[in-house]
Amino acid sequence: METGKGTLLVVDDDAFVSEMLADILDGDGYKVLTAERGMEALKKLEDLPEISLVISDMNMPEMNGLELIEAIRKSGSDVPIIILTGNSEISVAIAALNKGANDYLIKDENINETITISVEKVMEKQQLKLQNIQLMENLAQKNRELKKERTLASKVQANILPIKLQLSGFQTGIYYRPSNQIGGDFFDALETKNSIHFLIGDISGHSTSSALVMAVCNGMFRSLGQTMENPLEIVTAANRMLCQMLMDSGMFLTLAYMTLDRENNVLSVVSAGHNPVFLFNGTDIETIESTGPVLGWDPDDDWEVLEFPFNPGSTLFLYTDGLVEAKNSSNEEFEARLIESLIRIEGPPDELVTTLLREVSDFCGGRFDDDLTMFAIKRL
Amino acid sequence: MDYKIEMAHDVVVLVPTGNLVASETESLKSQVEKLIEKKFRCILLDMSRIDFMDSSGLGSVMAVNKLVTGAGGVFACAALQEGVRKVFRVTRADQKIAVAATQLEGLLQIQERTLHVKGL
Repeated sequence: METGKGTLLVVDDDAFVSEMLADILDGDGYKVLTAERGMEALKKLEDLPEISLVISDMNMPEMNGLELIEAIRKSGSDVPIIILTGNSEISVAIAALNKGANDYLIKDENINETITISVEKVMEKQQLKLQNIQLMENLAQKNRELKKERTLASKVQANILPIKLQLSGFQTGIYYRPSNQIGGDFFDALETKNSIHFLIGDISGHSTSSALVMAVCNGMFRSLGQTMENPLEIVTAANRMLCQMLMDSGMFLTLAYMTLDRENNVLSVVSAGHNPVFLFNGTDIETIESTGPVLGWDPDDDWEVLEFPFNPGSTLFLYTDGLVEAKNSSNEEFEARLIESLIRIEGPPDELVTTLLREVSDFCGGRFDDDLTMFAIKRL
Repeated sequence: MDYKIEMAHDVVVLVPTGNLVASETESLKSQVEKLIEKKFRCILLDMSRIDFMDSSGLGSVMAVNKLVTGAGGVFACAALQEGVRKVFRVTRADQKIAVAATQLEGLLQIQERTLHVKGL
């Protein structure tokens, strides 16, 4: 006798009907248990968790079919239930469906055939339901794991970046916020024997891969900055490594890399497709535009190096596109207001950054779609 | 993002509508991959209906440029709106990808370059 298809419980006070259904379903590969009363059925359901479907008559003494359905559902069980009705009891059958039954069958001369079809259909639906629940649980678990990973990655990333910089002879102001816990923005400052290096970069996108590339870039520039003094050599070397790493993905890095010759007060700038850099020299603001393509597309690319005086009292303002692309409700970008804000705001770099953050947040209603980084450096 | 695909002689003109941002980059790549699988080699991306493009969007345009040229084809972008044109200019993507002011100019550019590739 096959029992692999599941264990069924037939509940009917008429032993003839129970035995007939048991014979049919047993022959179809099910293991069939029977109960004559509702209370007996509830006891069997409680004791035998392997019961995967209940077939119940409607008219039974002590506890009728509707009451049995109610009691089963009240117990928290979602075992599928098929009810058996007479021809004249369709309205009762509908009431049973509303109470939580899964199907109903009319006890007529076709019951031999309809019972197996109904059982198979209901069991199949139940199987799908259970699979869906399992899939949803798996998905929820994956989401929980992903969230945990992102939180961890966010903490790691925040620790990579120099949130506070102690540079002798300089004041700095910094704001960094990834749009989605992790991001592709980074910035740094590095003191070497003869110069100071400042950089800000933005990896395209703000996915996990962007964050990974950002972490690699951060380490790569620290290493290059320790061994090279010329910003063009540093950017060229970084570009070759990035092209090898990013291949044909289309991903890229926009970067502004500057070195300050402390002795001669000259700031050398290479901007690889980055937003304009602003340099305040007394009353003048110098807008330093991109001097060549972004990094990661072509290993043979080249950049122009621009030089500017950077004397005590001068301030350098670096940022990523999250600042200028922040939009207001009229879909206008903050970019048009940036220079006006930079001219108007007075105070040390940390106040400049704090005030700009407040202004851009008011402008876009606090809705930032991109990573946002601001880095202001004043030479004392 | 919706795509309209037109044929102009043997050039496929792909006209996406919407914002070319991170969530749309795979669909652009997939559209171009399907065209390459079907042996189309000349593709013009008409960007007149792209209102906004972020860095991921630009990355996807660079990636499809490499896909097409890597398959021996010819690729160009045309009819960029101001914001998109600015992103191309700042990043110098306009030095890496052929950019035409209008769809018609883009078609002519591709036809000329196709003749050049064929050595005619």
